[in-house]
Amino acid sequence: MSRKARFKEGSCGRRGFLKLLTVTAVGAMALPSESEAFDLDAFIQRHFKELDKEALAKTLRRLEEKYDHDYGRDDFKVRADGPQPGVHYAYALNLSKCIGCRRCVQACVEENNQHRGDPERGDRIDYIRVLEMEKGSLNVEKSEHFYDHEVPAEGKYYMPVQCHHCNDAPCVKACPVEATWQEPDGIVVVDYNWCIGCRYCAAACPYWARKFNWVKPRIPSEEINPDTHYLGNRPRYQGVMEKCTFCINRVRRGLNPACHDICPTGSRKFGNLLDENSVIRQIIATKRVFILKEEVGTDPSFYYFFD
Amino acid sequence: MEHLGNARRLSPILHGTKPAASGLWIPLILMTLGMAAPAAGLTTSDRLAVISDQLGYYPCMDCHGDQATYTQPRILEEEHVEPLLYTDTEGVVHQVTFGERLAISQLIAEPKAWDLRSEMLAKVGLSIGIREYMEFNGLSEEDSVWVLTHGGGNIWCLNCHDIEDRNKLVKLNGEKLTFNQSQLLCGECHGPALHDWELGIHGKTTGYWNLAMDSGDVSIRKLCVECHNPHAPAFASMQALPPPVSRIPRRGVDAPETAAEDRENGGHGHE
Ligand code: HEC
Ligand code: HEC
Ligand code: HEC
Ligand code: HEC
Repeated sequence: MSRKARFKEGSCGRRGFLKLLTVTAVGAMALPSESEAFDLDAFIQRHFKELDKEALAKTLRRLEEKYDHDYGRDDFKVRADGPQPGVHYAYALNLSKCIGCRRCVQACVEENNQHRGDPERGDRIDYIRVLEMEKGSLNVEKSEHFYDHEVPAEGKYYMPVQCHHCNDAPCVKACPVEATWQEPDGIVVVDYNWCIGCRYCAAACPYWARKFNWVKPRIPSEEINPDTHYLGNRPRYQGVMEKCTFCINRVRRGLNPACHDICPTGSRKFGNLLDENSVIRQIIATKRVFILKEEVGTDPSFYYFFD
Repeated sequence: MEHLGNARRLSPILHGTKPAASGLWIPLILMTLGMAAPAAGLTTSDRLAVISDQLGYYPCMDCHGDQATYTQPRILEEEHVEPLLYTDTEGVVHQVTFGERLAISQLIAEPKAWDLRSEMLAKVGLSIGIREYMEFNGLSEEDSVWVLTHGGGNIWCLNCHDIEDRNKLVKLNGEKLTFNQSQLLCGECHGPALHDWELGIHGKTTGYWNLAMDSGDVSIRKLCVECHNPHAPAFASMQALPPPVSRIPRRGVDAPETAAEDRENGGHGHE
């Protein structure tokens, strides 16, 4: 049976439709048993970029109600704050200061409503992977990201890797249905209602940044972050791709990403690349800045530096 | 999300510092204190009050007002002996007092004496006072020059604390600073770090990347002393949070149907 038939959610628009087609095509008579009632609104929902103001407002309200219902809450907020003119987000990470404590990984999962997974199988979705590197080497192939000890360890340095929000993003080019794109402010986003789960984007990404929802994400109701964005941390469906969005729900309101604010060492720097007074520009002007895997030519909005 | 704890709030109010000579003027965002107080209308003394509140010993002049100062580097025993955690060369954690901590830093500089100490610690299996250590080694106080961890033996309390007014810190030129200006003290010897801190590169500012959107009470720039203990400034190591577990796909349940399928998909990209 094709992979498509394993998508167990009925209410996710196009994917539900595709599944229906597949199921019909192979002659299966019943929908998967867990399927929810067919949701016409979700089914005819347009691509995010094509939604007009009114349709968008309606969609956001519908989603808020659905999530409140799904998670037994009454405080879901689904935002759709747009990009601001004159802003291109960029991130810089100080490799001389990072000690590899993984506080960022944890804060990210909590902020962005990732699948918590089963602690034993460890299938939690993390957007950030912290590489333990040999001092003096820049070879990420020889790095270790399963280390578990007091940090920083002697002779090591640490390199957290997450979505680089490339300006020439291979993942965007790989998507056959335009379910992922780069916003005018540089954030690479996914429309979960449009993604068909083909995973081409994950294969195309040189930074291991894209994470796939193999299962319906499981998040205890009390751990949900109800402050969400349509293109970011709203609850995801099974069978869709997700990724770091620089915490789009936060940054579009002027706040820093969660990983930035949690870092105890102050290695993480975030700001507007187009503002010459921003910390990012100060770093570019005064530090040794480099790009990971520069040779693949993806033109990231994510820099590393030493001081 | 962020534990604000004793973090100190930023406001666009200029206070105390000038940008270091860089020819670059950035809108210097400086600390104001107190999570509850409104950004505007905070006076310097309000801000000082909040920092001072966090100091267990303030106001210093309650005791030091009529107390003679003995400027010799030594073990402090009567006061300032708050317990500190200290890890010995075998990785065993001991509780030591402020005074002992200063002494120990000296011993680290003298490996021989240091070895003796760990030997002795191993014998009694416990943390011991520096006095016992000295007795054990037949040392008298004159045998040793007690130094501060900070600065590797080159600085002592009164390089930073004003000798007359203990409520103040002191710059190299004798200019007095209140405790809410400690970063300027650090900058005396660590100019580049202070400069980077002013630009927002060293240390961290939580809250808003876009201060124009700050509603006035959430952007915080951490002070040097919130990350570095001024008396033992090396950044503390810590336990890393648990690593990701490598994913072992369960056939047909929720994972790729075959390992090959996972590999085809970039493999380790999807734990
Ligand atoms: C409860 C009384 C008390 C308070 C409050 C107090 N001190 Fe002290 N301090 C002492 C005593 C007693 C000594 C001498 C300790 C010794 O010699 O063992 C001392 C010693 C010192 C020394 C070493 C130099 C010297 O004078 O011998 C410094 C520096 C110092 N104190 C700074 C401070 C600062 C800064 C504060 C305020 C943050 C402060 N003290 C508050 C009682 C106090
Ligand atoms: C490098 C400069 C420096 C040196 C050297 C130094 N201090 Fe301090 N000390 C500071 C600063 C800065 C603070 C304020 C810390 C804060 O704001 O949290 C401080 C705070 C204190 C306090 C108040 C702590 C509290 O929580 O109540 C005491 C007491 C103190 N110092 C005593 C000493 C003594 C005694 C010595 C010498 C053995 C010494 N200091 C050496 C910079 C220094
Ligand atoms: C009077 C000069 C002086 C002042 C004032 C001073 N320091 Fe230092 N500091 C030193 C010296 C000397 C060293 C040792 C440098 C070395 O070993 O290369 C040092 C080292 C350090 C280190 C590195 C420690 C390590 O083990 O890696 C830090 C961090 C530091 N200081 C922070 C501070 C902070 C924070 C302040 C303000 C509270 C401060 N310093 C004030 C002289 C000073
Ligand atoms: C957010 C926490 C944070 C703040 C605030 C902070 N530092 Fe640091 N600082 C660090 C870390 C982390 C390191 C790297 C320590 C290491 O590698 O062990 C460091 C290193 C240093 C060093 C060693 C040399 C270097 O640059 O690596 C000095 C000196 C220093 N800091 C001074 C200061 C001074 C002065 C201030 C205030 C103006 C300050 N720091 C504020 C986190 C901080």
